[in-house]
Amino acid sequence: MSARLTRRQTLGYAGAALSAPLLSAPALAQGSAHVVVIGGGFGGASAARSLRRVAPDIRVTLVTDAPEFSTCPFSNLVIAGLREISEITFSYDALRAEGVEVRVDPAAALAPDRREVVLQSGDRLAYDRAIVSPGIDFVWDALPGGNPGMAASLPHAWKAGAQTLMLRDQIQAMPEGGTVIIAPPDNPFRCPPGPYERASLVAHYLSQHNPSAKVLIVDGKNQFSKQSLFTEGWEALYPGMISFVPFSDHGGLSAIDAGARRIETYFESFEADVINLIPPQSAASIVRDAGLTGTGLWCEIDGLTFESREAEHVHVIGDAAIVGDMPKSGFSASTQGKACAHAVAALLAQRTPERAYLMNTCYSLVGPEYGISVAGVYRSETGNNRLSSLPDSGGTSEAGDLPQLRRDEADYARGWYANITQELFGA
Amino acid sequence: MIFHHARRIARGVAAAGAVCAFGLASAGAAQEARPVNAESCTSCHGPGGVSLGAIPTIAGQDVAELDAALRGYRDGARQGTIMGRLVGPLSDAEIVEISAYFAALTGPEQ
Ligand SMILES: Cc1cc2nc3c(=O)[nH]c(=O)nc-3n(C[C@H](O)[C@H](O)[C@H](O)COP(=O)(O)OP(=O)(O)OC[C@H]3O[C@@H](n4cnc5c(N)ncnc54)[C@H](O)[C@@H]3O)c2cc1C
Ligand code: HEC
Repeated sequence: MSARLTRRQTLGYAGAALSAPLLSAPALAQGSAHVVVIGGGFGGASAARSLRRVAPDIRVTLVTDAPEFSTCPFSNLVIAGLREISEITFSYDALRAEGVEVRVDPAAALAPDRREVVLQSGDRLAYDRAIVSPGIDFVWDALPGGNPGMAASLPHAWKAGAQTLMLRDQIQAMPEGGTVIIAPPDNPFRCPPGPYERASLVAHYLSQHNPSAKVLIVDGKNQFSKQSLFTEGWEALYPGMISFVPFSDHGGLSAIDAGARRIETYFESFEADVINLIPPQSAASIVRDAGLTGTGLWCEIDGLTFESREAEHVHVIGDAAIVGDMPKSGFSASTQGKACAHAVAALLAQRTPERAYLMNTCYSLVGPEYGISVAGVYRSETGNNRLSSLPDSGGTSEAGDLPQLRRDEADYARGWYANITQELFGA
Repeated sequence: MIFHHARRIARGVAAAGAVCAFGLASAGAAQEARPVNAESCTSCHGPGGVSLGAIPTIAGQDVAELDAALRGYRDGARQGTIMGRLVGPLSDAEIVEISAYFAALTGPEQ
């Protein structure tokens, strides 16, 4: 790692301002500070748009790797045939209209010591501050014989798009009475309730089109998010269709035969018609290559400004970062994008960033008219990045036979999706 | 008393919004000086507090009603599916500030 990257465990933002390299002075003096945002998903689009709103004098460039973005939220509905992929896919036109300069040219390197982002085309973007929300990559090495080629027959569908459609099509083509295996990793990973929402909506599809088929969750852990609520919903809606095999019952994956669609575990082997293999994850390669993950898999940040602990002037948000107790969700990433925009605007104006009240809610659809949720609230706080779940708040929906509540939360889940995507990408 | 205070802030926010309006078409962009503590709300209630779906619109509601609703959710007097889980730790002053902000926003008509 470059010696010029300083660890900032003890140095707060105030200290950083005092020791700010001279480089930033000219841009600031001209009132045209430049912020480069990497990643046009939940965190990046939110940060870029919020920054234009909070500080219209700051120039914002958004660097993205594709002209359109398909959301993972609601992609389980696409897998279940309940929405089209076009309904969860968005362009960056609204961001352009608000003055965000959008570059569809992936970031090839981030060089914090030169305060520069190098794009795949070779173009170089100098920044006063960078906000980085590139999401996740897969740690294939952590699987027995694991390699990225496995996704060509065992789709992860953990980044939305072609993989989502592949999984949908495989499930639709399954023989009568077939088996779908969903194999989620151990924590931490993107969207803790995601695999179980997926199991639910796949079961919904099967119950209508292939009612003797089965869904088997061969899990890398023993417990999962909203477990009792999911289990209750499965018994109510899809009795006998979904089985959960906790880690302790199988002992972990020992071999994967992609061709035969078979996975071996230490205690048992499983064959299926469709295997949704969700690999273990890390922060995306752009931040790992830049050294922002230190010796770990995720980025450590300051809990007030989201500034990396490994590099000054680089702020990391979303799934790539460890943000206290906040789960890796689209809601979290977008909320962090807004708080980070406020913090970056303050820092560029030589002001002290305010603490922010951050919320997260993960809605899950157990069925189209059966919604459940888990929520948490946090306060940003400089230094040790606790962002702990605040007391007297958060938690899951009430358990029990409450059909009206489940219907209401399904409506609110759809309302949330419509509103957050409108806020991120809508005109 | 508290509501008086809130109304004053509401006018302040509206005025600030007018001053820093940047000629952008969307309502959300023109009405700024959003308190950082109100940022999470719009992910559910819609940009500028104007909702597209089943979650209620909160932009342009009466400030006293917003204030009473948030206190009700916080103190357990008002029932809901989710709000009670989200506002527990908010202080009175934060509720006043957030209510003033959404009350000053323009409602859905445009
Ligand atoms: C099946 C599923 C269901 C989910 N459901 C929900 C839900 O209901 N609610 C919820 O809140 N969350 C949900 N999530 C989680 C949510 O998708 C993520 O937490 C969220 O997308 C994280 O936002 P992010 O900005 O960190 O990453 P992303 O949204 O993935 O955005 C990162 C973007 O950066 C791009 N990128 C990466 N590297 C580069 C580079 N070098 N140059 C340019 N661009 C780059 C990526 O391609 C991507 O477009 C779900 C996830 C899954 C998989
Ligand atoms: C996770 C989604 C979500 C978030 C985040 C959220 N709300 Fe709500 N809000 C709802 C829902 C759903 C309702 C309907 C009542 C219920 O079920 O809890 C509601 C109801 C309300 C109401 C009552 C409106 C009426 O007309 O009855 C107010 C006021 C309100 N919210 C304000 C806020 C504010 C302010 C914030 C941010 C501090 C916020 N909400 C954050 C989902 C949300």
